[in-house]
Amino acid sequence: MRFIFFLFIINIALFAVDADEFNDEFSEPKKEIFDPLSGYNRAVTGFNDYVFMNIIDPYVFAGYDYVAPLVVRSSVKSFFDNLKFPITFVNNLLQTKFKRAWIDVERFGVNTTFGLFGFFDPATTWLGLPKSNEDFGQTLGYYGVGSGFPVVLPFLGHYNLRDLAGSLADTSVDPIYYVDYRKYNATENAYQSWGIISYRYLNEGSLRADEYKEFRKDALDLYPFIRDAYEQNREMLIKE
Amino acid sequence: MKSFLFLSIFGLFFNLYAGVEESITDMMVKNSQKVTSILKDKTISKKKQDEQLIKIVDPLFDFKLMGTLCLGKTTYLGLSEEQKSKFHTVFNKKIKNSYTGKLHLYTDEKLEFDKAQMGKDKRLSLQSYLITKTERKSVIYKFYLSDEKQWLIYDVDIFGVSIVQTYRNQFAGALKTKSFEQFLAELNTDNI
Repeated sequence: MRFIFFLFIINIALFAVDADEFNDEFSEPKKEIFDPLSGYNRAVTGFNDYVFMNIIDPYVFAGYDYVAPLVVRSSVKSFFDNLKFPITFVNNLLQTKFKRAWIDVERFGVNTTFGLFGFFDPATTWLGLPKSNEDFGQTLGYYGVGSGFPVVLPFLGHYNLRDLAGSLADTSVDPIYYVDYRKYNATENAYQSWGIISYRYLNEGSLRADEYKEFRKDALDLYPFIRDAYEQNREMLIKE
Repeated sequence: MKSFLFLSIFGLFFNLYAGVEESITDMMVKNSQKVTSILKDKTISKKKQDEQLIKIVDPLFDFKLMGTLCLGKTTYLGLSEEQKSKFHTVFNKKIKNSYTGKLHLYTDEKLEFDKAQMGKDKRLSLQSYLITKTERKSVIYKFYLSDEKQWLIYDVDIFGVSIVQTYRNQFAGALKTKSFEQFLAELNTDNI
């Protein structure tokens, strides 16, 4: 008995030397996660994954990759990223990141002119001006709004309530959305707008397909894995 | 005399860590160059590439500590020696495959390193950025000073997502509903 007790103490001591001091750094897994839509979210995550793995990736993305090589898709992404200028600019201002907001202005000016309407990104490659990644969900997080609960949308993927509300708010300044009450719209009607938005999703999705296929291999259970990784990634973006 | 002794010990202590930040950064820059040259070498098979990548990655990481942290203190202490050993074997294989799999994603991308930052309790973090054609993504390597006085990686934050924290949450979730043996079998297979 004494020997077992001795082994137990040694075991604790060894663990203490190696790992105990690290446990403060990692949060304990939450016993209860506020996820009132968990059943629905899990089903939609499964649906999205199935559609991605069996239809979108092997047929839609493969076809698109065939007609648009990586260099084209990257340029198209740069073009759409440049058009996101109003979103990053407004949200940098709202988060009082004035220097970053000014860099957004410089980037937009340089990329729209020298970068041929944004298809190239000389602001990064020539001038080293970093690209902002800001949205209204992050602005809400910056002011302490909690993430709410997870919401998974068919085809569009994982959000939380705060970020979903945030992305709806961002559409009001996103030039490719057709917004009725806005005086200036880049598109003539909502149909045109949705066509362009769908293409933006297709292009961005095709660039991230391999990442998704690789990261999903780390999941023991896909829905909580994506939920957890999503929240950690958003927390980092809010802190940045 | 006492103050001289104190200063000597104090000085010795700080000398131990002097220049560590630079040498860790240099070491990682050199290793990332080696990794890139392996990934770009199309004359060797992917399997051979993986073997060479693991040879580089293996001495940099403390996979045993990572596994222990992922499982969490309470669970780990509740395991028999045999279970611990099996777990580490399976986890090592899983994490090495996962890490090399991710390296293959970024064959043409550049990894830029900032200077490493010394933290508390003999920890050090190294901020790096993965420069893709359209984005700059954050990757943070976290090091600790082992008992053998080696700086080893115990976690990597990829785009803000900590490998250890994510596995930790997943393992805890799986062990709520499954026995340890069932969990281990699941970990041992590419289940999705």
